[in-house]
Amino acid sequence: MARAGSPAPTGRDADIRARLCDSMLDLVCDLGYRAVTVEDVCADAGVGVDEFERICGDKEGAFIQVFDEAADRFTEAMQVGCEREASWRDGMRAAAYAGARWLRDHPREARFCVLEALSAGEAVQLRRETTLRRLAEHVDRGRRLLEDPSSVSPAFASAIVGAISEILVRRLSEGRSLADVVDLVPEVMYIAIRPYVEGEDALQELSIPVVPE
Amino acid sequence: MTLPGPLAKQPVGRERLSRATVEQHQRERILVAAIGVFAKRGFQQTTIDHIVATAKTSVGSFYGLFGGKEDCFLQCYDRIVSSSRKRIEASLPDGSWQERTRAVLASLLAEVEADPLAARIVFVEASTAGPGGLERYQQTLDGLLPALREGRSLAPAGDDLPASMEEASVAGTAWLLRDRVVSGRVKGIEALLPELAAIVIGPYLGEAEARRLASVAT
Repeated sequence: MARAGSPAPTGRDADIRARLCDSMLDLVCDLGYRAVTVEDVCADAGVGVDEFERICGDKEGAFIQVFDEAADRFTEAMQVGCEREASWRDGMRAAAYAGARWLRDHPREARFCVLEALSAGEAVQLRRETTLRRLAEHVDRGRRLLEDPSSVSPAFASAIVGAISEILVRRLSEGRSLADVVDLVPEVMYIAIRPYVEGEDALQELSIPVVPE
Repeated sequence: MTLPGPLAKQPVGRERLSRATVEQHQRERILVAAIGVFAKRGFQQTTIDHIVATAKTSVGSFYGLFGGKEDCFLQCYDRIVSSSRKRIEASLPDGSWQERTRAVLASLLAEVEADPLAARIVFVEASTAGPGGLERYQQTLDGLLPALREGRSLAPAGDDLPASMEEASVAGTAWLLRDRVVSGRVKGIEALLPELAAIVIGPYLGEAEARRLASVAT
């Protein structure tokens, strides 16, 4: 039984896996994780249950495969944006725009990873927390700017990333789209950098023009 | 043997308990059991059988009182939040916005430490319990926003602060509490007060003042 974390399948298995992942993504977004069954996914993908179990293991295993792929692409988009910039602050801003644009352009993946992941099992929660922890590590680098890095707790970075995630959960759970999420970046930037820079300086984030795509 | 509250008040052998009294007693017993079961197994893994076995009641009695697992969970959630809110409100000092906000944070941490299972229901399981649980959780967080916004009047740049400032502060606080509950690091959680004060009070009064407030003994 293949589980998430196993080597990616190749050839025919890769094709089957891709179909199963597409079906899982679509059905979970349309019906919600709890309502979707393995049989639904197999019927939609045109794949037998035996093949499903061999490639994904179970429903949670299939969810994890989709989640991992989307989370990797999301964090990679942010990473690429960030690496173009020389300073932590500019890198944070570039990463925030890249992440927001990725969410705007991939509404189904966003719904899947942000909202539906909450209803999936414990293994999915762990993956979600790992993804957020990685993002928090980047925010926490802001402490290096401080004369006394210990004057700001590493917990702050964790809180800010958790808060952004919760705000996205709320928007999606209220049926709002993430089409305008890019407009939130200046606010998010102010909130994220405030403990690491002077108050007045942080407020400048609110008037910096949107970084062009 | 001591009889439970509602039963102890009744004269023995004279008249039967009212149906409402019996139902209230049963409901309480099931809710207390369900909080433990939901917290230990998680909402998704909990079944009605788990709850009725722990509460030592029947499936029939359960469905006579609850619409199903989610309804039972929501009643657990409401019970926890309502009693916590009463205790926190009762502990608030008459004082400035910052003193009261600090007291709310300290009381919140005390609540989590005193009952980690209840904290797990609120900060972890509610979000996984479907749209109803998520909505309740978000309503709980929303309830904290108006008092927090009063802090803007104390901030030099109060009018310029982003609209989502308070939402982020409350969600960030909840996230940190969730993290501690999930990782089982609840004992000694009151040590988190300086961090929470920096997140919640810091945007209005600055980190230094937030830390000073957190260090003030009550």
